[in-house]
Amino acid sequence: MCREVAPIMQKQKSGRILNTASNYGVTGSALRAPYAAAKAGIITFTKSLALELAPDNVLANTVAPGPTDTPRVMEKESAEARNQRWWPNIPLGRTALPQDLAEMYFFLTTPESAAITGQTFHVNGGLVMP
Amino acid sequence: MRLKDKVAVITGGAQGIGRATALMMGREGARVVVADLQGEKAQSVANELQGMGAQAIGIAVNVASESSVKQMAKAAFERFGRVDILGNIAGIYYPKAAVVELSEEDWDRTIDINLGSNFLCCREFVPAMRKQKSGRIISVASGIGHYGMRQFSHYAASKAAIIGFVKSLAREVGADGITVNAICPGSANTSMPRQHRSEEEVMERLRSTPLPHILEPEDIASSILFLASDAAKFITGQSYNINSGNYMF
Repeated sequence: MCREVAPIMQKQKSGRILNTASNYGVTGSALRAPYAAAKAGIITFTKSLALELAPDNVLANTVAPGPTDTPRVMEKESAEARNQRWWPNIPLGRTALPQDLAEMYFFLTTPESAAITGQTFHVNGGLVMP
Repeated sequence: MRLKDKVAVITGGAQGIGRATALMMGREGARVVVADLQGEKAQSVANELQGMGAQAIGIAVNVASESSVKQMAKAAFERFGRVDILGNIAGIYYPKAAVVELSEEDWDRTIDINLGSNFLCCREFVPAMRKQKSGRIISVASGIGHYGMRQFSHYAASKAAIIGFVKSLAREVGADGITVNAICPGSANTSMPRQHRSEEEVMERLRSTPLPHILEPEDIASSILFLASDAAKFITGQSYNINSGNYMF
Protein backbone atom coordinates (compact mmCIF):
# COMPACT_ATOMS: atom_id res chain seq x y z
CA MET A 1 0.00 0.00 0.00
CA CYS A 2 2.68 2.50 0.99
CA ARG A 3 4.66 1.74 -2.17
CA GLU A 4 1.62 2.57 -4.26
CA VAL A 5 0.48 5.63 -2.39
CA ALA A 6 3.77 7.32 -1.48
CA PRO A 7 4.69 8.49 -5.00
CA ILE A 8 1.34 10.22 -5.36
CA MET A 9 1.78 11.97 -2.03
CA GLN A 10 5.37 12.88 -2.86
CA LYS A 11 4.24 14.44 -6.10
CA GLN A 12 1.60 16.53 -4.37
CA LYS A 13 4.09 17.46 -1.62
CA SER A 14 1.75 16.44 1.15
CA GLY A 15 0.29 13.33 2.68
CA ARG A 16 -0.27 11.40 5.86
CA ILE A 17 0.33 7.69 6.26
CA LEU A 18 -0.98 5.96 9.38
CA ASN A 19 0.07 2.39 10.07
CA THR A 20 -1.27 0.17 12.80
CA ALA A 21 1.02 -1.80 15.08
CA SER A 22 0.22 -3.10 18.57
CA ASN A 23 1.59 -2.89 22.07
CA TYR A 24 2.76 -6.45 21.41
CA GLY A 25 5.13 -4.98 18.84
CA VAL A 26 7.01 -3.49 21.77
CA THR A 27 6.42 -5.98 24.58
CA GLY A 28 6.33 -9.25 22.65
CA SER A 29 3.70 -11.88 23.44
CA ALA A 30 3.95 -15.56 24.33
CA LEU A 31 2.44 -17.80 21.63
CA ARG A 32 2.06 -14.81 19.33
CA ALA A 33 5.63 -14.46 18.09
CA PRO A 34 4.72 -13.97 14.43
CA TYR A 35 2.13 -11.33 15.28
CA ALA A 36 4.45 -9.48 17.68
CA ALA A 37 7.34 -9.62 15.23
CA ALA A 38 5.17 -8.33 12.41
CA LYS A 39 3.92 -5.45 14.54
CA ALA A 40 7.46 -4.55 15.66
CA GLY A 41 8.37 -4.56 12.01
CA ILE A 42 5.63 -2.08 11.23
CA ILE A 43 7.05 0.36 13.78
CA THR A 44 10.50 0.33 12.25
CA PHE A 45 9.15 0.20 8.71
CA THR A 46 7.17 3.36 9.43
CA LYS A 47 10.21 5.13 10.88
CA SER A 48 12.22 4.32 7.77
CA LEU A 49 9.38 5.38 5.52
CA ALA A 50 9.03 8.63 7.48
CA LEU A 51 12.70 9.44 6.91
CA GLU A 52 12.40 8.68 3.21
CA LEU A 53 9.27 10.76 2.65
CA ALA A 54 9.91 13.68 5.01
CA PRO A 55 11.66 15.87 2.39
CA ASP A 56 8.41 15.83 0.40
CA ASN A 57 6.30 16.76 3.44
CA VAL A 58 4.73 13.31 3.63
CA LEU A 59 4.29 12.18 7.22
CA ALA A 60 4.19 8.57 8.41
CA ASN A 61 3.29 7.52 11.93
CA THR A 62 2.23 4.39 13.75
CA VAL A 63 -0.67 3.92 16.11
CA ALA A 64 -0.19 1.05 18.54
CA PRO A 65 -3.46 -0.03 20.13
CA GLY A 66 -3.72 -2.12 23.24
CA PRO A 67 -6.62 -4.53 23.76
CA THR A 68 -9.58 -3.03 21.92
CA ASP A 69 -13.23 -4.02 21.89
CA THR A 70 -13.57 -4.62 18.15
CA PRO A 71 -16.25 -6.92 16.78
CA ARG A 72 -13.60 -9.47 15.79
CA VAL A 73 -12.24 -9.92 19.30
CA MET A 74 -15.63 -9.53 20.97
CA GLU A 75 -16.88 -12.55 19.03
CA LYS A 76 -14.27 -14.67 20.77
CA GLU A 77 -14.49 -13.25 24.27
CA SER A 78 -17.18 -11.31 26.13
CA ALA A 79 -16.54 -7.77 27.34
CA GLU A 80 -16.83 -9.00 30.91
CA ALA A 81 -14.25 -11.75 30.42
CA ARG A 82 -11.95 -9.31 28.67
CA ASN A 83 -12.23 -6.77 31.43
CA GLN A 84 -11.54 -9.41 34.06
CA ARG A 85 -8.46 -10.45 32.16
CA TRP A 86 -7.15 -6.95 31.47
CA TRP A 87 -8.45 -4.41 33.95
CA PRO A 88 -6.00 -5.09 36.81
CA ASN A 89 -3.20 -4.08 34.46
CA ILE A 90 -4.85 -1.08 32.85
CA PRO A 91 -4.66 2.08 34.99
CA LEU A 92 -7.74 3.55 33.31
CA GLY A 93 -9.65 0.38 34.15
CA ARG A 94 -11.08 -0.72 30.81
CA THR A 95 -10.15 -1.91 27.37
CA ALA A 96 -10.21 0.50 24.45
CA LEU A 97 -13.21 1.33 22.34
CA PRO A 98 -12.63 1.74 18.61
CA GLN A 99 -13.49 5.44 19.05
CA ASP A 100 -10.50 5.87 21.39
CA LEU A 101 -8.24 4.78 18.57
CA ALA A 102 -10.10 6.75 15.93
CA GLU A 103 -9.42 9.97 17.85
CA MET A 104 -5.69 9.32 17.66
CA TYR A 105 -5.78 8.51 13.95
CA PHE A 106 -7.85 11.62 13.32
CA PHE A 107 -5.44 13.88 15.23
CA LEU A 108 -2.60 12.57 13.09
CA THR A 109 -4.38 13.74 9.94
CA THR A 110 -4.96 17.31 11.11
CA PRO A 111 -2.81 20.42 10.56
CA GLU A 112 -2.19 20.35 14.33
CA SER A 113 0.09 17.33 13.90
CA ALA A 114 2.10 18.80 11.01
CA ALA A 115 5.38 18.42 12.96
CA ILE A 116 4.92 14.76 13.85
CA THR A 117 6.50 12.01 11.83
CA GLY A 118 8.15 8.66 12.46
CA GLN A 119 6.53 8.32 15.87
CA THR A 120 4.62 5.55 17.56
CA PHE A 121 1.48 6.45 19.49
CA HIS A 122 0.40 3.95 22.10
CA VAL A 123 -3.28 4.14 23.01
CA ASN A 124 -3.93 1.55 25.69
CA GLY A 125 -5.22 3.12 28.89
CA GLY A 126 -1.78 2.82 30.41
CA LEU A 127 -1.35 -0.92 29.94
CA VAL A 128 2.01 -0.36 28.32
CA MET A 129 4.18 2.71 28.84
CA PRO A 130 7.26 2.29 26.69
CA MET B 1 -14.69 24.34 21.51
CA ARG B 2 -12.76 21.40 22.86
CA LEU B 3 -12.18 22.72 26.38
CA LYS B 4 -15.36 24.65 27.06
CA ASP B 5 -15.54 25.71 30.74
CA LYS B 6 -12.52 23.62 31.71
CA VAL B 7 -10.01 25.21 34.06
CA ALA B 8 -6.41 24.93 32.95
CA VAL B 9 -3.35 25.78 35.04
CA ILE B 10 -0.33 26.37 32.84
CA THR B 11 3.07 26.78 34.50
CA GLY B 12 5.69 28.54 32.45
CA GLY B 13 2.77 30.23 30.72
CA ALA B 14 4.48 33.58 30.11
CA GLN B 15 6.48 32.59 27.05
CA GLY B 16 7.38 29.94 24.52
CA ILE B 17 5.49 26.65 24.64
CA GLY B 18 3.65 27.64 27.82
CA ARG B 19 2.33 30.85 26.30
CA ALA B 20 1.28 29.10 23.09
CA THR B 21 -0.52 26.46 25.17
CA ALA B 22 -2.31 29.01 27.36
CA LEU B 23 -3.51 30.96 24.32
CA MET B 24 -4.59 27.83 22.44
CA MET B 25 -6.52 26.51 25.42
CA GLY B 26 -8.19 29.89 25.94
CA ARG B 27 -9.28 29.88 22.30
CA GLU B 28 -10.78 26.42 22.90
CA GLY B 29 -12.95 27.72 25.73
CA ALA B 30 -10.80 27.02 28.79
CA ARG B 31 -10.50 29.34 31.75
CA VAL B 32 -6.77 29.74 32.14
CA VAL B 33 -4.41 30.29 35.06
CA VAL B 34 -1.18 31.61 33.57
CA ALA B 35 1.48 30.86 36.19
CA ASP B 36 5.06 31.94 35.75
CA LEU B 37 8.07 33.20 37.66
CA GLN B 38 7.75 36.35 35.57
CA GLY B 39 4.52 37.62 37.07
CA GLU B 40 4.17 40.67 34.84
CA LYS B 41 4.60 38.62 31.69
CA ALA B 42 2.10 36.06 33.01
CA GLN B 43 -0.40 38.86 33.55
CA SER B 44 0.28 40.13 30.06
CA VAL B 45 -0.62 36.70 28.61
CA ALA B 46 -3.72 36.65 30.84
CA ASN B 47 -4.64 40.09 29.46
CA GLU B 48 -4.18 38.75 25.94
CA LEU B 49 -6.52 35.86 26.78
CA GLN B 50 -9.09 38.25 28.22
CA GLY B 51 -8.84 40.28 25.04
CA MET B 52 -9.86 37.15 23.15
CA GLY B 53 -12.88 36.77 25.42
CA ALA B 54 -11.40 34.04 27.63
CA GLN B 55 -11.36 34.13 31.42
CA ALA B 56 -7.80 34.18 32.70
CA ILE B 57 -5.58 35.27 35.55
CA GLY B 58 -1.82 35.71 35.73
CA ILE B 59 -0.01 34.53 38.84
CA ALA B 60 3.64 34.88 39.81
CA VAL B 61 5.00 31.56 41.04
CA ASN B 62 8.31 29.93 41.78
CA VAL B 63 7.51 26.34 40.79
CA ALA B 64 10.52 25.07 42.74
CA SER B 65 9.14 26.42 46.01
CA GLU B 66 6.57 24.47 47.98
CA SER B 67 5.08 27.57 49.60
CA SER B 68 4.91 29.48 46.32
CA VAL B 69 3.18 26.57 44.54
CA LYS B 70 0.71 26.30 47.41
CA GLN B 71 -0.08 30.01 47.11
CA MET B 72 -0.53 29.69 43.36
CA ALA B 73 -2.91 26.74 43.79
CA LYS B 74 -4.87 28.66 46.44
CA ALA B 75 -5.24 31.65 44.11
CA ALA B 76 -6.31 29.37 41.24
CA PHE B 77 -8.98 27.65 43.34
CA GLU B 78 -10.18 30.98 44.76
CA ARG B 79 -10.66 32.37 41.27
CA PHE B 80 -12.09 29.36 39.44
CA GLY B 81 -13.08 26.83 42.12
CA ARG B 82 -11.73 23.77 40.33
CA VAL B 83 -8.96 22.49 38.09
CA ASP B 84 -9.35 20.20 35.08
CA ILE B 85 -6.02 20.51 33.32
CA LEU B 86 -2.52 20.97 34.67
CA GLY B 87 0.19 21.78 32.16
CA ASN B 88 3.62 21.39 33.74
CA ILE B 89 5.60 23.46 31.28
CA ALA B 90 7.88 25.66 33.39
CA GLY B 91 11.52 24.75 32.99
CA ILE B 92 15.08 25.96 32.51
CA TYR B 93 17.79 24.84 30.11
CA TYR B 94 20.89 26.83 30.99
CA PRO B 95 23.67 26.77 32.27
CA LYS B 96 25.77 24.74 29.89
CA ALA B 97 28.49 22.78 31.72
CA ALA B 98 30.26 19.45 31.52
CA VAL B 99 29.54 17.03 34.36
CA VAL B 100 33.02 17.52 35.82
CA GLU B 101 32.55 21.28 35.87
CA LEU B 102 28.90 21.51 36.90
CA SER B 103 28.28 23.04 40.32
CA GLU B 104 26.02 21.32 42.80
CA GLU B 105 24.00 24.52 42.94
CA ASP B 106 23.29 24.46 39.20
CA TRP B 107 22.50 20.74 39.30
CA ASP B 108 20.03 21.21 42.16
CA ARG B 109 18.46 24.28 40.61
CA THR B 110 17.76 22.49 37.32
CA ILE B 111 16.39 19.39 39.02
CA ASP B 112 14.23 21.46 41.38
CA ILE B 113 12.75 23.69 38.68
CA ASN B 114 12.29 21.09 35.93
CA LEU B 115 11.41 18.01 37.97
CA GLY B 116 10.53 19.23 41.46
CA SER B 117 7.92 21.53 39.93
CA ASN B 118 6.09 18.50 38.53
CA PHE B 119 6.00 16.91 41.96
CA LEU B 120 4.92 20.07 43.79
CA CYS B 121 2.24 21.10 41.29
CA CYS B 122 0.79 17.59 40.91
CA ARG B 123 0.67 17.19 44.69
CA GLU B 124 -1.37 20.38 44.96
CA PHE B 125 -3.83 19.74 42.15
CA VAL B 126 -4.33 15.96 42.09
CA PRO B 127 -6.57 15.85 45.21
CA ALA B 128 -9.11 18.17 43.56
CA MET B 129 -9.00 16.15 40.35
CA ARG B 130 -9.52 12.99 42.39
CA LYS B 131 -12.59 14.44 44.04
CA GLN B 132 -14.14 15.35 40.71
CA LYS B 133 -13.05 11.99 39.23
CA SER B 134 -11.45 13.60 36.22
CA GLY B 135 -8.34 15.49 35.28
CA ARG B 136 -5.61 15.86 32.70
CA ILE B 137 -1.97 16.35 33.51
CA ILE B 138 0.48 17.02 30.72
CA SER B 139 4.16 17.51 31.46
CA VAL B 140 6.71 18.81 29.02
CA ALA B 141 9.82 16.64 29.01
CA SER B 142 12.29 16.68 26.11
CA GLY B 143 13.85 14.46 23.51
CA ILE B 144 17.10 15.19 25.31
CA GLY B 145 15.67 13.15 28.19
CA HIS B 146 15.87 10.15 25.84
CA TYR B 147 19.12 10.65 23.97
CA GLY B 148 21.11 12.84 26.38
CA MET B 149 23.25 15.82 25.49
CA ARG B 150 26.79 16.65 26.36
CA GLN B 151 27.16 19.60 28.72
CA PHE B 152 23.48 19.34 29.59
CA SER B 153 23.47 16.30 31.87
CA HIS B 154 21.43 18.17 34.48
CA TYR B 155 18.76 19.11 31.95
CA ALA B 156 18.73 15.64 30.37
CA ALA B 157 18.42 13.93 33.75
CA SER B 158 15.60 16.23 34.85
CA LYS B 159 13.66 15.60 31.64
CA ALA B 160 14.19 11.82 31.69
CA ALA B 161 12.98 11.80 35.27
CA ILE B 162 9.79 13.61 34.27
CA ILE B 163 8.95 10.64 32.04
CA GLY B 164 9.37 8.23 34.95
CA PHE B 165 7.36 10.51 37.21
CA VAL B 166 4.55 10.73 34.66
CA LYS B 167 4.35 6.95 34.26
CA SER B 168 4.26 6.42 38.01
CA LEU B 169 1.62 9.06 38.62
CA ALA B 170 -0.45 7.70 35.72
CA ARG B 171 -0.55 4.35 37.50
CA GLU B 172 -1.50 6.01 40.81
CA VAL B 173 -4.38 8.11 39.54
CA GLY B 174 -5.78 6.18 36.56
CA ALA B 175 -8.55 4.70 38.67
CA ASP B 176 -9.67 8.24 39.52
CA GLY B 177 -10.22 9.14 35.88
CA ILE B 178 -7.07 11.23 35.68
CA THR B 179 -4.69 10.86 32.76
CA VAL B 180 -1.01 11.81 32.97
CA ASN B 181 1.20 12.11 29.90
CA ALA B 182 4.42 13.72 28.74
CA ILE B 183 5.28 15.55 25.56
CA CYS B 184 8.90 15.38 24.41
CA PRO B 185 9.56 18.30 22.08
CA GLY B 186 12.54 18.53 19.82
CA SER B 187 14.37 21.83 19.51
CA ALA B 188 11.69 24.46 18.97
CA ASN B 189 11.72 28.03 17.74
CA THR B 190 11.71 29.60 21.20
CA SER B 191 14.09 31.74 23.25
CA MET B 192 15.45 28.67 25.05
CA PRO B 193 17.98 27.39 22.46
CA ARG B 194 19.05 30.98 21.83
CA GLN B 195 20.49 31.09 25.33
CA HIS B 196 23.58 29.25 24.17
CA ARG B 197 23.50 29.35 20.37
CA SER B 198 23.69 32.16 17.86
CA GLU B 199 20.63 32.99 15.77
CA GLU B 200 22.33 31.41 12.77
CA GLU B 201 23.07 28.19 14.67
CA VAL B 202 19.54 28.01 16.02
CA MET B 203 17.95 28.39 12.61
CA GLU B 204 20.36 25.91 11.03
CA ARG B 205 19.46 23.37 13.69
CA LEU B 206 15.74 24.02 13.29
CA ARG B 207 16.06 23.50 9.52
CA SER B 208 18.07 20.30 9.84
CA THR B 209 15.15 18.02 10.71
CA PRO B 210 13.98 15.35 8.24
CA LEU B 211 10.66 17.13 7.84
CA PRO B 212 10.98 20.59 6.28
CA HIS B 213 8.96 22.09 9.10
CA ILE B 214 10.43 24.48 11.66
CA LEU B 215 9.13 23.36 15.02
CA GLU B 216 7.12 26.22 16.49
CA PRO B 217 5.72 26.46 20.04
CA GLU B 218 2.25 26.03 18.53
CA ASP B 219 3.22 22.59 17.19
CA ILE B 220 3.90 21.48 20.74
CA ALA B 221 0.88 23.30 22.17
CA SER B 222 -1.47 21.54 19.75
CA SER B 223 -0.35 18.13 21.01
CA ILE B 224 -0.75 19.29 24.61
CA LEU B 225 -4.23 20.48 23.69
CA PHE B 226 -5.01 17.09 22.14
CA LEU B 227 -3.96 15.31 25.33
CA ALA B 228 -6.09 17.71 27.39
CA SER B 229 -9.18 17.13 25.25
CA ASP B 230 -11.84 14.44 25.44
CA ALA B 231 -10.35 12.87 22.34
CA ALA B 232 -7.43 11.59 24.44
CA LYS B 233 -9.41 10.23 27.37
CA PHE B 234 -7.96 6.73 26.96
CA ILE B 235 -4.33 7.80 26.72
CA THR B 236 -2.20 7.75 29.87
CA GLY B 237 1.39 7.10 30.88
CA GLN B 238 2.70 7.95 27.43
CA SER B 239 5.49 10.22 26.26
CA TYR B 240 4.90 11.45 22.74
CA ASN B 241 7.70 12.90 20.62
CA ILE B 242 6.95 16.05 18.65
CA ASN B 243 10.07 16.96 16.72
CA SER B 244 9.65 17.18 12.92
CA GLY B 245 11.08 13.68 12.68
CA ASN B 246 14.35 14.53 14.41
CA TYR B 247 14.40 11.31 16.40
CA MET B 248 12.10 8.32 16.55
CA PHE B 249 11.82 6.14 19.62
